Amino acid sequence: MRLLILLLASALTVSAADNFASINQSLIRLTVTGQKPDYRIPWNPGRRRSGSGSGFVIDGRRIMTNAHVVSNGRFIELEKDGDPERYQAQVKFIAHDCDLAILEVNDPAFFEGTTALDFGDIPALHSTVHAFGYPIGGERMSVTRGVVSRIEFRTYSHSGLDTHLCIQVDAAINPGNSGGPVVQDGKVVGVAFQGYSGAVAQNTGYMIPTPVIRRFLTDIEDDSYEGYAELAVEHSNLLNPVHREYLGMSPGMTGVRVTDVMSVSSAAGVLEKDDVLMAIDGYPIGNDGHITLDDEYVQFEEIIERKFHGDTVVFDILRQRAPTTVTVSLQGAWPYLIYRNEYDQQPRYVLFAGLLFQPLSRDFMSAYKVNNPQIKYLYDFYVTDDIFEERPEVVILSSILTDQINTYLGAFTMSVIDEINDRKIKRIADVAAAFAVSADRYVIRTIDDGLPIVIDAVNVEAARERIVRNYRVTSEQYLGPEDLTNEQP
Amino acid sequence: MNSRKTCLFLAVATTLLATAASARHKTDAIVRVRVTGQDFSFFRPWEKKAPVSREGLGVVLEGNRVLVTGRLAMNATFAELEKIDTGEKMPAYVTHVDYAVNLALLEPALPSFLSDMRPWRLRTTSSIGDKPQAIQFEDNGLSIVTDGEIKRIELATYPLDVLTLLSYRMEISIARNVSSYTLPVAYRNRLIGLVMSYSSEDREAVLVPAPVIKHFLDDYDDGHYDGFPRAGFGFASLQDPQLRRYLGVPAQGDGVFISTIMPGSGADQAGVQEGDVLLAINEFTIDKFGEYTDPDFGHQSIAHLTTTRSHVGDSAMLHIVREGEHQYLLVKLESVPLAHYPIVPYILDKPAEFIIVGGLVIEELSGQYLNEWGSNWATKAPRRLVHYDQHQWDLFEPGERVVILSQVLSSAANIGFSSLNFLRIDSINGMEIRQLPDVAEALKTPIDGFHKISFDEFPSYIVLKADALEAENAQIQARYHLPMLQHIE
Repeated sequence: MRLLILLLASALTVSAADNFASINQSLIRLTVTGQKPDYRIPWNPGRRRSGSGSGFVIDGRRIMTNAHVVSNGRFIELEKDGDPERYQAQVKFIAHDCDLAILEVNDPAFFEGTTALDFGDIPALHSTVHAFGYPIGGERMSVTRGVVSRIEFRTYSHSGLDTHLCIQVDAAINPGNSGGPVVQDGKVVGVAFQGYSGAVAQNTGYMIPTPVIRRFLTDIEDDSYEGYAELAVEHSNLLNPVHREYLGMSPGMTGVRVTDVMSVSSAAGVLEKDDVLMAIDGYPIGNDGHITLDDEYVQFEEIIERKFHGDTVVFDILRQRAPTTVTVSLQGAWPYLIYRNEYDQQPRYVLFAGLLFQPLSRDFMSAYKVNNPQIKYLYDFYVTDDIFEERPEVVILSSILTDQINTYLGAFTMSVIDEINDRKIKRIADVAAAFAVSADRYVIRTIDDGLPIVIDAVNVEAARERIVRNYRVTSEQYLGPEDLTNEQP
Repeated sequence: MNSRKTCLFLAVATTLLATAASARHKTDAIVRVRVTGQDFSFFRPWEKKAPVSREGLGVVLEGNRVLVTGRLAMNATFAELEKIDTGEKMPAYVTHVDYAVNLALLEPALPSFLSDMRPWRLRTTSSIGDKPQAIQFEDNGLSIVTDGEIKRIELATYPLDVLTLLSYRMEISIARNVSSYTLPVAYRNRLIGLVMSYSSEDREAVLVPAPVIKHFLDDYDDGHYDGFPRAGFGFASLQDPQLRRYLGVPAQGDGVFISTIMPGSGADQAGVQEGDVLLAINEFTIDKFGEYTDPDFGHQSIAHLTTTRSHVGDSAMLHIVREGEHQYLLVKLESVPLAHYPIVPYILDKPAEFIIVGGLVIEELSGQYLNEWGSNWATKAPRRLVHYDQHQWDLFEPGERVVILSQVLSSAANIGFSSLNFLRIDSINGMEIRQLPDVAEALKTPIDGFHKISFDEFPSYIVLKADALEAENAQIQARYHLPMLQHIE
């Protein structure tokens, strides 16, 4: 399913009733040259790729587009309809979790003659919308028309993890439409961003609705993007009447049952296993976990979606048969990030004696097409089995640059590292720290508790020189930006 | 001139006679064996699967019995013997089978059926370069004798993945689909093995060799079948001089690394530990690859020493080095009963045990259950079940079972959780579940009118109402046409 969702960084549509001229004055074409990091040779700058997408001018001399249009971008060029000039732009804010970005343009002349578009609300089901952009199939601006088919939560495929409100339209939305506005009554009601390949489904395009866009714009008002807060509470439906009776719920009481509260959850110490969440901020929660919000039937998490780090949410709960009210202060939940695609970051790694150590991540799994059952288990159950508590980063000996120092170590490829010289390896930085300590030999233990890897220190320096030269290794480690390595416990 | 011609003619005639005699001899010692096997369903444990007919060639042995591979006899519902020259048929019974060594014995319903046959004898020594013959027969009784050559004599993992035993690897071109389940191989009119697998691509047959067959027969004939012994440890080769120095053994020399110990095994009881370096077993020195020089077969893995070369009840003296100290540990060699495994490797010739309550189909996890995902179940089956299997000795006590909710038959009692499957049940009504009969026991004592069935993952538990359960069970049995609601031996 994941593979079938196409990001539409390359098309779009409009209604005649809409103010065609103002949209034409707002619509931007983006051409982006980027470099995709190589997780298998992490010191390389990565493969060049170029793509195009759409964007539009909003207030404050800003341009809105999709995060995936400009991710990993090195050089961004803008074009306006009817203007031969190419303008250079920079990413000012990027939100990979909701696939939105704000760009700035150096040349103030760029905004001459442009019109900033305003945002509308969630369009009604079956109402008509128009999508604008620069999709494949031609050079000029394109307009397509469609109706709103469905409004529900969906995974945003750019991050691969985050689920937000999403609107499905039957307008043709094609590669190149990405980042373009979807308009109703002259106002932007969504940003076109993903669809299905024609081989899977016809006339299904998706747009990011304005609650998500407005949240993004509010989040960046303080000049930084924090992203979404997470409840990080696992819950189960209460459709079963016997289960409601068991929990002491009288007829007419509804809600969902808390099945697990993560140790790093916003609600740790506030919500407990087996609490029944009956209402959120006063909205009654149904036995299937839905609430009615602005006339839409949505999952109760939509309330949390619209909030920010540090905001609070109030739950009416039933605990041990007694009704009570609790307040949760919202934060992020970092362990989930292992499942998010990474962008605009160099892969983190340590190379020592030809052994390449890397932290487990979604990009790691796909780059190596990992089939090792142990690593697959650690990845799949990283959050649910609390693996992150012992190992905030699961460090893997991912590959070996063959040299005489490591000639017997081939069988250790794809081993999970537990200790180096008795130092517990909880993150990739621990690997660098362990090798930085001088010792006669380095004893590397895997979590299998079996055969250790032993490297005699006396041979390391000569091997380092050979390996760096022969394999053209430009840097032997990258541990990430300072703030990132210090954030997690 | 004339006399010379005659001589030539005579020579040819002699050869023809010799061939005919040998073919005739073989029909005296071999019978066709047809078995109808019917596997038990583990996903729908109240059912058997479609019957399958298998055919092979059995070797007549002393004592009115016929030797075939275990694979041929698997889950047999009907077996018959057929004489190759006359086509005369006789029902037969599987009198003894050891699936782990892939061997079975059949006896005809009337012992006199085999009285005109000439039992074959075993040749328990073979060498690389020997050119034995595989014997097959056309439907009309014509023999097809194919010459092969033994290329390797080495240990192989036997089909059910329980034992690693001696095998012969023979280069040969066998006509496919003729007696494919058991094929005798002879050298100078003695049986040297049965083909257990054949790759037409590599033109390679793998044989259960005569020493393994002899071990199986001797063990059976002494009146009490013990099976093949095991020492109960795993090892890794010790080539890396850096590692060897770290372990306190000479950089170049003998010895392997003990990497795993099976809990409760002879090695465990004798105090062998992970990390020990094993230098010798009895009088045999062990090289760095884990091989010793066998008196019969030259360089072989030490696993041969503690399996086919030993018998249950024997002891082996292990010479080890632990932290630089030499030690001698006497390890009792025992067979590992299937019931010792937390996840029983295979269950054949008997149905799966199960309990259905409130539509919940509850079973014990086994290798046979996992096999329902096909032979590559390690990549196809739910990751958590595979994880349980791979780490069974770490996660569970010997003899403890993994009891799982296999699936839910939808009914009123299970609304809201009918999509649950493949979850380990850790307790019911507060009672720990360590084997399937515990489920029946725990269900006798509901708490406050509810049965609480707890899992070690989402959704943590579900409840059933106790008083309505009997009626509900009867309804489910009728609705889904179940012949029974439980089977426990």
